[in-house]
Amino acid sequence: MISSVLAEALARQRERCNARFAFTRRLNRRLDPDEFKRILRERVDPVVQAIQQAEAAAVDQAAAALYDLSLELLAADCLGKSARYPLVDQVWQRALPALADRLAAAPRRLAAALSNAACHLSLESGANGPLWLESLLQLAGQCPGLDSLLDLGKVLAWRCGLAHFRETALTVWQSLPEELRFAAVGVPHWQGQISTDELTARLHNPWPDLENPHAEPHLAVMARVGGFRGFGGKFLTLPRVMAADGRLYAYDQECCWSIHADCFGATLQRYGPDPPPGLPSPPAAVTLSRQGAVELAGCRGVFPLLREWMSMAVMGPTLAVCVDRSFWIYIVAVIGGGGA
Amino acid sequence: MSTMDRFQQLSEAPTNPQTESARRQFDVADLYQGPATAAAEETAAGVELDEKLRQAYFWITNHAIISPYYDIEYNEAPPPTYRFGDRKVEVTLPSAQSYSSYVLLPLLNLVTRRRCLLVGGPGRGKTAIAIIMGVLSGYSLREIRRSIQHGQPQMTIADLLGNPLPATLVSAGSMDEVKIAWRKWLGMRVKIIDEYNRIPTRTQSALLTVMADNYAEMYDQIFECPAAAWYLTANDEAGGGTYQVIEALRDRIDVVVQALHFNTRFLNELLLRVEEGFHPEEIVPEQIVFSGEELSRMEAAARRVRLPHDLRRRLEFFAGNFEFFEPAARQIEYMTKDTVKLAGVEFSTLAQTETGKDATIDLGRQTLNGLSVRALITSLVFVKAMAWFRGATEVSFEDVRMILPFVLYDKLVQNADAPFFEQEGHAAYRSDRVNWLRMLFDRSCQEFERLNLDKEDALDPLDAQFEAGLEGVDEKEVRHRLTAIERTLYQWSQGRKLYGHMFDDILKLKYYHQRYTNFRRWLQWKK
Repeated sequence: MISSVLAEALARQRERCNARFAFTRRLNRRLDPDEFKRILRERVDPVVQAIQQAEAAAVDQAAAALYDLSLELLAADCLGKSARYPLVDQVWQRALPALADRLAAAPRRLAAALSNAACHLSLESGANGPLWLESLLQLAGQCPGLDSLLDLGKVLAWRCGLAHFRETALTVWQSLPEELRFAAVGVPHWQGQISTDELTARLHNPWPDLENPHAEPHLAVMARVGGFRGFGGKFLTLPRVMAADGRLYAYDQECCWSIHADCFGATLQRYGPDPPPGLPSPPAAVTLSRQGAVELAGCRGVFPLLREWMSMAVMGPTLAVCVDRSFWIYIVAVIGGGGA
Repeated sequence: MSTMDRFQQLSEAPTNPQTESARRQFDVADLYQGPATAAAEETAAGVELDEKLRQAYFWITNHAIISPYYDIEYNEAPPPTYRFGDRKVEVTLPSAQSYSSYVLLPLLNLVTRRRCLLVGGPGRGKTAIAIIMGVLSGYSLREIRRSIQHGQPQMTIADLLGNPLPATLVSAGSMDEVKIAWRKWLGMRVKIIDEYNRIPTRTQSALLTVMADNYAEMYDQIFECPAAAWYLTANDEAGGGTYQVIEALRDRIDVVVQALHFNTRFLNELLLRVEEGFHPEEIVPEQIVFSGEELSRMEAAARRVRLPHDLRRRLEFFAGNFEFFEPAARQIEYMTKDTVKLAGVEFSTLAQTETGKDATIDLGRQTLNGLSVRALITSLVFVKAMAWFRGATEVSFEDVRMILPFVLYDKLVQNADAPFFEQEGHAAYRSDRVNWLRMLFDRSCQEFERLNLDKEDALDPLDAQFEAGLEGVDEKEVRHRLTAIERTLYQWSQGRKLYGHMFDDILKLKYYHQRYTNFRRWLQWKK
């Protein structure tokens, strides 16, 4: 049974709601009315009830928006029992009721934004969706308005692994309230140790040492990306890497991907069928011996993992290395050392 | 992609991709884009209006109106062509993005805010597409349905325009004091007149004032209507219905679109609609709904599209073919079809006296009239809108070729008795007006090219000289120019036949000659 709040709100827009459902079902015969009822009961209803508590006048608008959105997401297999991304369900189950006061002002905007963000985070194997959700709920109270909350969500998505958003997320991060900035990038313990200006300078380096702000620069293998497509990875054949146009790229015989990596994560983003024109061989600034000894930007390290390397490319403090008989690309970086 | 994805989401931008950006930019704002669509104002932000219009087009063709036709064809490469049957019916598979006129023209009419007539048999979705245009303009379905003016034999002027308030009728000391309760539809941005050929003649005259001059008048009171896109429907394309449509009203129609037949292979679509009780106009996505301000911006943007000089010349050449009618008069200025019409003389009687001209060149022979200024303006407006819809900044040859027939559909009256239609394979042009008009344009362009007018137009240098102004031009130069005009006319006069396309050129040369003659006299007087 759904609550009388939602039941009455839907009854007031019965024709519209029925038409919307009929329309959606018409083109998606798999759409299960019972499952939609369950979503209305278990996901939409608690949110609408919470909105009723926060701002009763917003119930009708919110009910309509959440009805449409949940239907859309169910039809797209993003919500419901056959959902591809459990994180979306978590957003509806936990985040939306908790953010009812914000949702009352712009139900569709906020619910759609968070649902889509959950989809993006679910699509990146290296991203930490649950951490994003936890952090958002934890810090939401410090956001003065809806825009600020959405900005926080963007920054948290970057921090939770969506490295390809780094450049623009960094700009958004600078617009956050000052007291939120340390927590948003996961270094609340730095607050008081360094100033926000210093934090800004450090974050401009893709590889600050998040554990110890005063540590000396050193080399470390920070991530691996790619993998064999048969096991859910990206590559069909053994990949190679290259640098071009200020960016690192990985390619196999079928496709080319841009590599994005920083202290928060690493992702591959599809570039096109062919790699861009660029520099196939690394510049002299980096050396990698057959024993896996790396020298980059004055730092040295030995990584047995990289002994049988096949190709490498460097961009600033980031080195991408492919090794023989592996579909993975290893990301080695100069960690720490202040601003870039 | 699931069926749901295809349906619920609009066609992804760019709907008509031109070039691909080399390096992809990653914006964290994209985090909030995905399967869940945000409110219309969120998703519409940043979408160009032409892109939004294309998305509207694809939404209508994919989900709303079952019109699986691509009769407005564009090609980037030679299209594969197949021929069928004894008559070798040609079917081409367009190699570039092509469109269904039945959906596209009403949309272009929305952009240009003109008057579109939807013709075709009953039950072909004429009113449905007009209603969708209303919903796209931001009106609720209820508002649109209530605003439709249904033509019927008892329709009065009051039904159409409104009523005087009885209280003011009694108390008014003068006409000025009578207050009118104007009908709401008069103030709307989309106006729909269903079955306009069933409106009594007297009421048609009142409708004409609204359509032509954009105001309504009653008891000396005036209601100024906003700029609006008009959609009229008629079952009979000839305008015959319960009442004959007055000519002035027909003349105000800017573009005519024919509702094509229902393709029976899409019966399953109908079946689903019946089973689900589904009405697409009830669920037009908010993202493709245009505000009044957006509609105004679209119209302005479409008008800014450039028409290249070469193309303008071809249009001039084409349009010049039709008004000229040699047997109509003794003086060249009056050698027009209009002269014959005004005199009430039977056209065919005089046409018989005109012999010996090449039927393939003499395109004017196939029509009973020429092109009015209104028709030419409408042509220019719609070809620009077509180019804009496709995302171009300049009108292309194909834009003109594709759109012109829909604008001239009711404007160029066919002379069905012309010998051309008796020739083998030409009889179909009597009923297929769109392709007849397109054929006329094609033949006109062939003749234009044969005469090498795109490279050697005798009027081009004279135009350039004249447009440069007469200031500083001395008598010797004027004499030189007059001689050039006379020489050109002499050369042309050596030809055996006078064709329509030469008519306007000759008259223009006469115009230049007179202007220079007057100027020379003034120069002589000044001395």
